[in-house]
Amino acid sequence: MRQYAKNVFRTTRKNIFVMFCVILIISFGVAFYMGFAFYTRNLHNEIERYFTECRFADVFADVKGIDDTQLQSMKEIPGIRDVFGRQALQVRMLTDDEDKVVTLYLLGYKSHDRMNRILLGDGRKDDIPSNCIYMGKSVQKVYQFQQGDRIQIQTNGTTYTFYYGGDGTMSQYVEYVPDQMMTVTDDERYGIAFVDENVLEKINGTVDSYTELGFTLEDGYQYDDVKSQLTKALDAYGLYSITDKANQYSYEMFQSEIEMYSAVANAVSALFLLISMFMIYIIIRKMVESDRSIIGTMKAMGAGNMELFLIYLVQSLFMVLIGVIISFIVAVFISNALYADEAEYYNLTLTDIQILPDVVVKGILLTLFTVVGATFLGIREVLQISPVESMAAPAPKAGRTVEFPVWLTGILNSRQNIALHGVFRNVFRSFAIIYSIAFCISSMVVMYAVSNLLVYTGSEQYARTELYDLRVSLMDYVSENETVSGLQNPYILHKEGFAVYDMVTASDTKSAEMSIMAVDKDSQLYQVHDNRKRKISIPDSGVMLTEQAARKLGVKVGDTLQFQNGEICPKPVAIPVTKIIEVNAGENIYIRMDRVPAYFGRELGINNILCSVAAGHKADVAAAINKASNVVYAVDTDTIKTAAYESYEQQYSLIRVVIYATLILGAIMVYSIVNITVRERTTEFGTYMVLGFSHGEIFEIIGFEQLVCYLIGLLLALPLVKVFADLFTGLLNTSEQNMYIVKVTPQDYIAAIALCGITVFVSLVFVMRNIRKVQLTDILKERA
Amino acid sequence: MRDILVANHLRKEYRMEDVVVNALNDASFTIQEGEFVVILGPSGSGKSTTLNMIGGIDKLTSGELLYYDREDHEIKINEMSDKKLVDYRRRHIGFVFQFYNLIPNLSVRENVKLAWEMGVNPLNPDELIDKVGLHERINYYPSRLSGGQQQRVAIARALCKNPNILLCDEPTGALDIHTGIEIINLLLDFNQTYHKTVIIVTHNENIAKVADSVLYFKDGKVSKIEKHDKPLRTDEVEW
Repeated sequence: MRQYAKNVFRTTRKNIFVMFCVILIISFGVAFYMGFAFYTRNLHNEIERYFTECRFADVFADVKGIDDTQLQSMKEIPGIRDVFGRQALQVRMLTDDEDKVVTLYLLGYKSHDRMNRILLGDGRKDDIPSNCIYMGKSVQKVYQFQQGDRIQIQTNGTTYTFYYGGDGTMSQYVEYVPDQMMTVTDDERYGIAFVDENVLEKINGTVDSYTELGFTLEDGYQYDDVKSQLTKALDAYGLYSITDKANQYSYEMFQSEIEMYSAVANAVSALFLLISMFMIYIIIRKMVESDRSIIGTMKAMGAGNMELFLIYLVQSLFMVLIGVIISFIVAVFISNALYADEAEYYNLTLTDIQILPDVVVKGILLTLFTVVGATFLGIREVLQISPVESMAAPAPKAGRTVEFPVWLTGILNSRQNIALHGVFRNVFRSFAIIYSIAFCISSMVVMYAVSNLLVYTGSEQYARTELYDLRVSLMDYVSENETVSGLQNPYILHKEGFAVYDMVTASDTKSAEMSIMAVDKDSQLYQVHDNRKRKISIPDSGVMLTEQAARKLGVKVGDTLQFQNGEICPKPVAIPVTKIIEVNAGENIYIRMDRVPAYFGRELGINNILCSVAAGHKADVAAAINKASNVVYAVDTDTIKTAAYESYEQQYSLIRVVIYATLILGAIMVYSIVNITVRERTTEFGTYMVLGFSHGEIFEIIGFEQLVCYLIGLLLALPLVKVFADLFTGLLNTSEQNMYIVKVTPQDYIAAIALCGITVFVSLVFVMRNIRKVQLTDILKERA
Repeated sequence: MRDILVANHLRKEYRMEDVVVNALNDASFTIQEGEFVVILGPSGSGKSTTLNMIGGIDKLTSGELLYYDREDHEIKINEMSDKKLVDYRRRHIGFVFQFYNLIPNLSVRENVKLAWEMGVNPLNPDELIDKVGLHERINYYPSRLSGGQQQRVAIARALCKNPNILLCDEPTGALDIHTGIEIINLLLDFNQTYHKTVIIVTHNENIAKVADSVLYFKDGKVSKIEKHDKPLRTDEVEW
């Protein structure tokens, strides 16, 4: 049957452009899957290796202070294998720019650290010279220090001078945020730095007193097995926070990022593969339809169904082969491009991704399933073809006759009536066009909505929530009436107290290190919004949690939470949960500022001041504030928004790629389907021409048909939008950290409808060009 | 000569919504090996249906249709499964269609070779193309051939499988008289050279004059069977 296979391949060649597009779509779908699988798996493996190299602890705790002997005694707790302590201190780095406050989290370095090791960029393993400071990679990237540069830090009014020694990383602080209010990093303003531990002890004025602790567990032990005893033991040393590895900020952030990338990549792959499956199905089915007589002849000659099936399947396998090759090349390119940034960021030893055979096999199977599945669906028609069909010209198919109301047919001219009946006469053909239009519109609408959601998450939600111009973070808690020298500035129009308390927060079943935010009842400068962009009031009593925080702590409204902080409330304080809200992201707990004394028995004070500043005076005010010694840092909202946007940049880029790809994909699909379905009617249009129809009149028929299909497609798109929106909502919320809602706006619809409309129009123009080339003499010679 | 086909009381009903059409209504006949048979009759008389039944591409409602292969094994066509029918068509039957049914994407040689690939004991495709006089156009695609030339290719293709029976449905129906005569000559030639049974369905009574046997169909029955001991040559017929 080689000769028949030739025929099938040659028939395919007539649809070569469409087939090429289909292969490209499959390739990109599989490439997305493979590329992101290569990227995330390599990254995961390498980061895990990085965490292992750093000897990442199993449990992390922050205390007010504990000496080495006391710390070693924790090994007596069953399940604790090893303990480790480190000194750390928040300091200010002095820069030439007086307006800018740069806060460094200074960590003590020892060459023989057993846990949570600091890795120095120059590969240095021995002790840091006492006059040297090493900077975290992110800060170094911003300030571009050169070895030997003089760096001054200030704490408690004393200035210390160091020389820049190099950069370094620390697994606990891959991304450093100074407090929970900062959900994004701002490498220009915050960062980590390392000095010799003995030097840090001198700066701190405490010897042999650790604030950051790490614990490893014996084999077979989990965090829950030691949590209770360890928490009790550390209470005596002013426990601020305690958490396990899975919930450690850097580790959790990294894991959720990988989860989200995988979920989005899988969704995009699925979308691409579904589209290509649909297109292959249409192409194969159309091929079989147009070859009915030939297939009948083959059957009359003695060809079996299986033999004919196999030929179409062999052709599919050819497509699979090309698709796999292209997708593999694209996947390697995508994964390397994504990985390169991360490799530099984490200073990973593996600089190029490794090809993972199981991912390649899955990619091949995915391609195989898509192509062969669609081909099989398309060639099922072969079974229905009887050899009798070889014996005579096919009778005209009994089309569906739809009676339209007279008022409708009356207002349409004859061409439009032909077109209207044409839509309903061949249901499958019209369905293919309608579905491709609906698919195109709905996927574009949802892609726009997802893009807007990320923009909102990355920037707009800060503008809605954080209405202040400047946030001043104070070194110590102060009373709301207490004044800070810089805040007497006449350009400050309004100011409010605000507090963030880091607490060990526990429910009956779970505990975690959380921050509780105390906000003014009628705050004008900080307003909470949920994921539907509604303004939420903090309840009069108890605490309000985000759904993410509630999940983490395993609580619901009516339960009670215990809050404990070694410094401000050493004994646990019970507060009822009175409200749970859904937000896009964030494990936050809110309480009304004026209700704090009622629960904690005393005024805890504020540690942040929010200010609105007269236009054009933000820099003056910031400079004045920075001179106050108890100001740790001042943040302006513009910086937050920029930093937030930048932190989402990679996700934006990914979504942008997906949007463009969807656009191209949608356009190709609509063009292909319109082209295939109109081309098969060349004889019909040729007959119209013979009857005396002009090209313009034929364009009117085809155009009107497409218009009707477009409008029906638009209606079908509405439920599809809901399906896609729900699908993407689910995917974006793969991580428990997120509670996104993909909400579609009228603007999304307008953009998608317009773009899809243009695509259909352009497709028609191309199709008409082909119809103009039709030779009427050939049409008349055709058998049917 | 031995019998190659025996048809007893063939009935075929087609249902079109509520209407039942009796395409064959108790048709019986016998065809002998190597005969040149013409089936004649008006439209709707059941001649094409009979051809379809013999070819194993349609199924009887009732009746018995027997085929005797080269080893004289009796094969009941009416009792064959779909799978066996495929094998039957492949091994024993060659088709020549009114509209040629050539595969437009394949050249002359490829169209004939297609049958060669399917045949159990096929004939040499190049030789057959020579015999039908298309050697010069062996690499032409069907679109570049005239109707007569296309039908020659179709005959070469049908014969290439080396079937016992060649079934021809209105082989000259789409051709002019002169080309039609050439095609009949070709079929007669193959009938005599390869000793193949040739069954032709036609409206053209003149073709019946060159046949060994003529089956007249009317209202789904064989109304008359005519045997010619000395059939005319094509040049003796007044076309």
